[in-house]
Amino acid sequence: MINSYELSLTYNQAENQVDALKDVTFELAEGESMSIIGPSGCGKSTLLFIIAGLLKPTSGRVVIDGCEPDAPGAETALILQDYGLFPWKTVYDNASLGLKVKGYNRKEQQDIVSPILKKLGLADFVNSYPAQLSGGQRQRVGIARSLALKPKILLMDEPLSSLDALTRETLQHFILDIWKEHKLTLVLVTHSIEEAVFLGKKICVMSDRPGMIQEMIANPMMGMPGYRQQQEFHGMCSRLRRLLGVEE
Amino acid sequence: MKRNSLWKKTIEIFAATLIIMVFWYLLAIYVKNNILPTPLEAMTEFFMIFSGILWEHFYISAFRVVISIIAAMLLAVPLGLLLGREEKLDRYIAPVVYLVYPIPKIVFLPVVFLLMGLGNSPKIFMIGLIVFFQILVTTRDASKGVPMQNIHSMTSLGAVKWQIYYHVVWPACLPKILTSLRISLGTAIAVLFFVESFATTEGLGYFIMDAWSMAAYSQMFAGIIGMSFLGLILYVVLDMIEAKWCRWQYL
Ligand SMILES: Nc1ncnc2c1ncn2[C@@H]1O[C@H](COP(=O)(O)OP(=O)(O)OP(=O)(O)O)[C@@H](O)[C@H]1O
Ligand SMILES: [Mg+2]
Repeated sequence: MINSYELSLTYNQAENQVDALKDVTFELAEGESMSIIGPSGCGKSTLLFIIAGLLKPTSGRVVIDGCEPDAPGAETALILQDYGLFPWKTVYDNASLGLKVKGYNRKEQQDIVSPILKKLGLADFVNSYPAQLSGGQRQRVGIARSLALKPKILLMDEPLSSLDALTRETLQHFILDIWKEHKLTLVLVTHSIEEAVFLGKKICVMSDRPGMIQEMIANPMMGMPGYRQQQEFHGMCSRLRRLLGVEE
Repeated sequence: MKRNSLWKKTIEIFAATLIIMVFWYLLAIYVKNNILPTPLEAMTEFFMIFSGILWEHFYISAFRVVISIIAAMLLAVPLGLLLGREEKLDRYIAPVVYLVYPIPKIVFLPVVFLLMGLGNSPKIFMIGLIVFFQILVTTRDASKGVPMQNIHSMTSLGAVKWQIYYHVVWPACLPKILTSLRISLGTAIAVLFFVESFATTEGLGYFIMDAWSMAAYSQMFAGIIGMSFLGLILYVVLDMIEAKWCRWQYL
């Protein structure tokens, strides 16, 4: 359960102050999923970082299962846009890094990581470096690393934005499967309207800077088989388009 | 594949040596003066005396250079990595570094000799001091340039500070550190020649100057070859370290 109460964050830099978030309040039940969409620079990543415990809000607070997130990594896993993987580590070392950091020994790491890599179709690439992988494979390594930590909450910041349409759709289904199977609480930042509708049981539409919640849309059909082909899916996409001010 | 590239490298070095020899030979013929012996004469001399008198000088020079570079590296790399990431520390130390860096530290040689005597230590200190700043400045800038996203991604896995340094900052900066070492190597050998060229009776610098004063030009060139050889070996060692530790850079 994630509760956010009137979160505000101001970046203080030498000369100018940037109000990145203002009075963001929402609630996300355990096992639910929420996608966040909004114009570039509206504070989506900032919000995610606060939930992950990487940034402290200027005012307001986030409570996850009764505690404020401070030491990241215990319950939450964060998957970043581009720099998530380390180019100097092999696929296996990248995927097991979280466990290593937590002090698991080699054997334990292997027992957890190998099946996950296998399941994500990366078994043949364990000794490759990220530079030798395709974008989609790289993103799967990032997901593998997060899953290895058995998180309750998975936070993703535009995880699929650099992928081609085909790979992107495959991985969306893949994330949906993982969400269902592991009963995760999922928060996903995206720029894609379809992706927001496909992966968010709740869709959080944010307004331009300073980031505020413009509207929180319930998307009850999300996760049903064949949702993408249904009328409701397209209706939801159109509604989002209007909200975001995209002409049709 | 690895063996292949090593083989290729060896051939390259031989080919390059050959080209230099040809130019040297042509120049020697043109100058026609025993100050500039032909490569054949110089090489013969080099191989004749290398295992004899030259070896001791070679050995002591190698010792001085290697110790100074390693010592400078052991101090400069951790400090540079820290300065690049810890803003508070950097705010105090960076101005000092930037003030001291451009000072030609070699001019303090007399002072160093006076304070530390005439043994190995002032020479090692002098080389180390100069190289230290080169490595420090490069490492600090590299460490400052590690993307914040990389750090966040590590923090989000629950890493504490030393783990971030170990898994992210250090490997991210390593290629630049090795580059700075390679540049420092050239500097170190130049400084080595300088500090060995007076007030000592050991080292290749001394050997070259001594041969010069006796007008033993083939011997002098044997010393020069020795010094180049020393540089080449260390350069190759750095190359091998890079190939092993920074494999991800060349994919
Ligand atoms: N470290 C920082 N220092 C100062 N300002 C920052 C910092 N990080 C972000 N900002 C500012 O805060 C605002 C929100 O940034 P944020 O990265 O959260 O946006 P975003 O919604 O994720 O954008 P995008 O969709 O382009 O990724 C931006 O205007 C940005 O300029
Ligand atoms: Mg962002």
